[in-house]
Amino acid sequence: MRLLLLEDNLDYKDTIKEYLESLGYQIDDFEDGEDALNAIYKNKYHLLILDIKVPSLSGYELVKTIRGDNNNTPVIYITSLTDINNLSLGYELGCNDYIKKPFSPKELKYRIEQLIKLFYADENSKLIKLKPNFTYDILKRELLLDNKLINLTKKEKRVVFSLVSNKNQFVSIDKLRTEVWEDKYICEADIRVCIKKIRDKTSKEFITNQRGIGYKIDREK
Amino acid sequence: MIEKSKTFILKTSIFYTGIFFIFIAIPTYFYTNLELENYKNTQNRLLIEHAQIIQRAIYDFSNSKSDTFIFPKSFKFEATLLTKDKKVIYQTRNLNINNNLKMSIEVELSNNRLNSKYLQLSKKISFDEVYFKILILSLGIGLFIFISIYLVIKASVEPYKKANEYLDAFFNDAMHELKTPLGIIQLNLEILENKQKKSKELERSINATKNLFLIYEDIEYLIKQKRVQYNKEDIDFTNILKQRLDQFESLASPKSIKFNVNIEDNINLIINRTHILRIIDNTLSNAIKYSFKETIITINLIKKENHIIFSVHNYSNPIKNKKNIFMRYEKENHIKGGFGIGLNIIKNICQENNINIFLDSTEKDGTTFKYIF
Repeated sequence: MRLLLLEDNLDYKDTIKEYLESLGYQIDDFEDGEDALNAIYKNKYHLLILDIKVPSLSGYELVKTIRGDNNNTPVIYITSLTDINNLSLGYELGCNDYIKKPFSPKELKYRIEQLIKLFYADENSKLIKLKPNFTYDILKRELLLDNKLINLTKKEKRVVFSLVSNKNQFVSIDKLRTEVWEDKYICEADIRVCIKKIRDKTSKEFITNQRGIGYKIDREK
Repeated sequence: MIEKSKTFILKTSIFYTGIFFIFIAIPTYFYTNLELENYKNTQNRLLIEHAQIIQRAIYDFSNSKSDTFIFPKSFKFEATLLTKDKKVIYQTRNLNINNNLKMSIEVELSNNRLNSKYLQLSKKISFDEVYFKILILSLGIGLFIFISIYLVIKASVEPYKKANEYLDAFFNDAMHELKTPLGIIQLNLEILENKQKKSKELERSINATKNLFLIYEDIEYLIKQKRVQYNKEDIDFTNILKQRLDQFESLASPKSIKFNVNIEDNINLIINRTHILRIIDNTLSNAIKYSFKETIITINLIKKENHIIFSVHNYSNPIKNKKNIFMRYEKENHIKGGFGIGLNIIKNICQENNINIFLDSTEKDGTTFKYIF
C-alpha cells in the first residue's frame, strides 16, 4: 500500500516514515505542500498523511485542491493545532480522520488501519470474503484460500487490491492502468496476461469480465 | 479570566461606594436637618409677608370710603378673620390641608372698620422637595464616587491583566514548541522497544514519556479550553478505552498492578474526543498512582438502559474529603506527585457533558470512580 507523508519537521517525518515502512507500507515523504500535491497528481496513493502547517501549501489547501479534482483518497491530518474549528473544516473538505500531535505510534497504526478498512473494505473487519471461498486481508493485501496464502507478484497484488477495493464494480482497463501501472504506457494485452496469471493461481471464476467494460471480483454477501 | 476580573472590579467598586455612603451618612443627616429648618423659615417668611399684604389691605380699606372690601386671596394660603371673641368673620376657601402639613400664624390686627381682631393664616408645606433634593445630591455624589473608584481599580488592574495575557501567550507558545520534540522522543522510544529485547532502562524511559504526556495533555487542555470549541463526534468508546488500557499497562507494571477488564463490545458515544480521553486518562492514571502494590484495578464499561456506565475500581487509602478532591490544587496526599488538576478537569468536562460522577471510597472496599453517560 502506497502512502504519502507530508511533515515539515525532518526528524518527525523520518521517524514516522521508518515506522510505517517497518509495518510494510510504501511511503513517499515530503516537507513541502506543493511537492506533495505534484506527487499526488503523478502517482496513485491509497492514503495521505498530512501535517497542516507546512511550507508553500497547507494541508487544508492541499486537500481542498485534490477534492476539487474528485480525488477521494482518504486523509489523516497530523496536527499540532488543537483548534477543533479548523479540524471540523477539514471534515467538510472530506478529511477522514485526524490525529493530534504528539501521538503514539500505535495510535497512528490504528487510525491508518481503521481508515483503510472503512474506505477500501467498506466494513469494520480487515478480512473480506470473496467468491468462491477466498478471503482477502485488506491490510496485508494477502489472498487466502482455506487459510493458505496464495503467492502473488507485486503487480498481481495491486490488481487484486484495485479490483477488491472497487467493491463489486467493474474496473475498466483505463482505471486499472491508472491504479496499478500509474499511467505508464502498457498495452491491453499485458494487462490481460496479468489477469490470466491471477486466474491461474486462483480460479477462473475469481475474476469475472465483461467485454468492453472491464473486470471485477465479487464479494460474498 | 477577563470576564472574572470585570465582575471583580464591579463588585469592589460597589463595595467601596457602600462604605463611602456609610461614612457620609452622619453629615448628610445634619445637612438634611439644616435644610428642613431653612425651608420652614422660608415658609414662615412667606406667611408673614402675605399677612402684611392682608393687613395693608385692611388698613387701606379702613381709611377709604369704599363700601366693599376686596380680600386679597391666594391659592396658596388659607386666611381667616376673627373678632375679639374668636368668632369667624370671614374665611377664604378651605384648601383641605392635612394638619401635619399645615403651617399657621396668627396676627393681631389694629382697629379697623371690619371689627376684626385676629388674622389666621395657614399654608401647606411639604418636605418632599427637601428630601428630593438630598436624594438627588446623594445619588449624584454616589455615582461620581462609583465611577471614580471603578476607573481607578480598572486602571490599576490593567497591568496585571496584560501580564496575565502575556503569560498565557507564553505558555501557549511553549507548549507548541514542546510538542515536536516530545512527539519525536515518544515515537522513537516505542519503535526502539519493538526492535530491541526488553530492557529496564528503555521501559522506564517509555513510562516517563507516557507520564510526561499525560501532564502535557492536561496542561494543554487547561490552557486551550477557553479558546477551543470542542466539537462532538461519534466515538467508539470500546475501542478507545481498550487502546488507552494498552498504553497504561506498562505504567501499572512497575507496581505489579494487574487490570481486570470487563468491556462490552460496540459501545458508541457522541462526545468530543479530547474530552473522553481526558476522563479516561485521568481516571486510570489516578487509579494507578494511588493503588497499593500488587493489587488489581477493575475497569468496567457496560450499557444499561440507555446509559453507558464506565467505572474504575482500585484498592487504595480511602478518600476522606470526597467533595474537595474535585477542586483545583486539592490533593488528599501531598507527598505523591500530580498537579491536582486531573480531577478538576474531569469535573469540568462532566459538567459540560451532563455526565454523572459517583465516588465511593472506603477502607474495606477500596475506591470506585463511576461515570454515567
